[in-house]
Amino acid sequence: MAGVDGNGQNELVESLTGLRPIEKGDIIFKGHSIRNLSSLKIRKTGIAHIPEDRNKTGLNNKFTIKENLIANLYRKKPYSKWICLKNSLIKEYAEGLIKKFDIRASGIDIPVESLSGGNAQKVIVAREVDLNSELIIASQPTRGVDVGSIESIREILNEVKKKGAVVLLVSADLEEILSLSDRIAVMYEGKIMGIVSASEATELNLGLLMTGGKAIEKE
Amino acid sequence: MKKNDYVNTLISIIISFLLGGIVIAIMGYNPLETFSQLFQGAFVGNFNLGCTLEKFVPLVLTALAFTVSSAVSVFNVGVEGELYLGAIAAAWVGFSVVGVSSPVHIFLCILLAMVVGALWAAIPGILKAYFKVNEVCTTILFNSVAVLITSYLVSYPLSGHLGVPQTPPIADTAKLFRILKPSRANIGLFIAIAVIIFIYWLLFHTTIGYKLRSVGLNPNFSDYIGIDSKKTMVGGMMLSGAIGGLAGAIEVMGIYGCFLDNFSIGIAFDGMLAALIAKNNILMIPVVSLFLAVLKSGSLGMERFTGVPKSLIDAIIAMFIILATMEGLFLFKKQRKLRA
Repeated sequence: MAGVDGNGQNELVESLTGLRPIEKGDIIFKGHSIRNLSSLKIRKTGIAHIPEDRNKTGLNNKFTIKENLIANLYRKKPYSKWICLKNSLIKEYAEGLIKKFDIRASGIDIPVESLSGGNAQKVIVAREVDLNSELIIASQPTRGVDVGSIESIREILNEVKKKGAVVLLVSADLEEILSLSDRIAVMYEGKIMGIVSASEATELNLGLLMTGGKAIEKE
Repeated sequence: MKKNDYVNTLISIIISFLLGGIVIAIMGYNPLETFSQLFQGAFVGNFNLGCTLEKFVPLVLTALAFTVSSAVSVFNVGVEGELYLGAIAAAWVGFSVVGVSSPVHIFLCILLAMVVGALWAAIPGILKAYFKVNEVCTTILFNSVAVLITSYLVSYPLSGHLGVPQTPPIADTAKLFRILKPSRANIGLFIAIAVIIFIYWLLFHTTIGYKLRSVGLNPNFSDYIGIDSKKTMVGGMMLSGAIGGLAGAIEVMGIYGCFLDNFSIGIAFDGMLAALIAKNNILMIPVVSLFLAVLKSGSLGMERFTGVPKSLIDAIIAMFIILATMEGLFLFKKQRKLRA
């Protein structure tokens, strides 16, 4: 989903993930409507979400890295039994995740607000990608992130694609869209202006659509 | 960070005693003798130690109630109201229910007190979570309402008709066993300790605690991750109210043996103070509460033996509060320096 910021992408993603109520229309996922379900129910249907705002939404800044990483799984076995948290298993899980996703931190018990932007984003990516969901919605996943982490995150999203999951990438970065996407839809003023396949997409084509024009037809 | 907190509080205690000692000397009394009488008044002898414990129990429970609501970022200034309603609920079960064994009777009294406290706290909780109504306003106003409700109840329908505004005395099976006679200290102390341990476990070792803390620190994140932040906020408030109700029940069942009109001279506000000084750190709350209880109960003995007025202790407590909260000022200045 390409588009200049502020053309409705954020609102669309929020309604897809149960964070915004829907007045009209429907969303069908795997044959069932997920319209106006709670965010928890939507996650349970197999959708993971990397939100646009990592500080307000994606992370709990005063929580530790460990507490942030376990945020999707703390309810489930083996990380909790009845209401008791199994702290040693949670610790193992978190440590494994930091290694796997190359998160640079001095430990898992430091608050996440002390991490750099890139590392903080990697915490979110690690947490959501490790769920192995069928659909990941990634909203501006490399915004405000250092170059090394940008590469890492794009690699990770590609891996996810190769494993057979679907990635809905929402980005204002054309280079990112062009390098990662198979199919590109462009949003402008709340409408989808066109859907272009990767082979037909050029910066010019997309740029035109993003500013409200029409795509140039190939002869 | 935590170790620093303990050290800072200790330093605040020492400094406030030093300043207090200087004032005592200026007033013409011997500071060492005065403090010695203070500590003796708090610890030496069953009656004195018992007095300290009597004051410690409601203080530590109301402080805990405030801390639990703070965990979901709600300022429950209404613990006093929950205390009163819990107290009268416990008194009612205490004198109305007959023919049950002691453990059952005590359990029923405490149960109703906690349920009533929880329901009372739920109202400002719901108002804040769903309608963004400022909880400080609602809870403070609710205090007055609660106290007046109990005043009415104890003067008319639940009156003991004894000429004093109190309910009939509760049955012996509902009374909490006294320890350290002739003081009024009772096994409510052990109930309080058990509750502190339980709440600590709940907040840091359970999924429920994870949800409560998550909502308190970042409700947006919590909604995104699938925790209903509004329901959780109300739940946290209800837990806080339940603990407040328990505090009231223990006062009735352990100390007075009936519900006495206006029995609390701001117990819950002292508890809130203790919680704020302890920075809502559950491990520090018993320490700060014990310190305040020691000062308050020791001051009686101190005044009796040395003539130093009790109000001097209030001044020392005030100095301690200023010092303990001034640390925030130093941190603020440090952050400004770092930024510059």
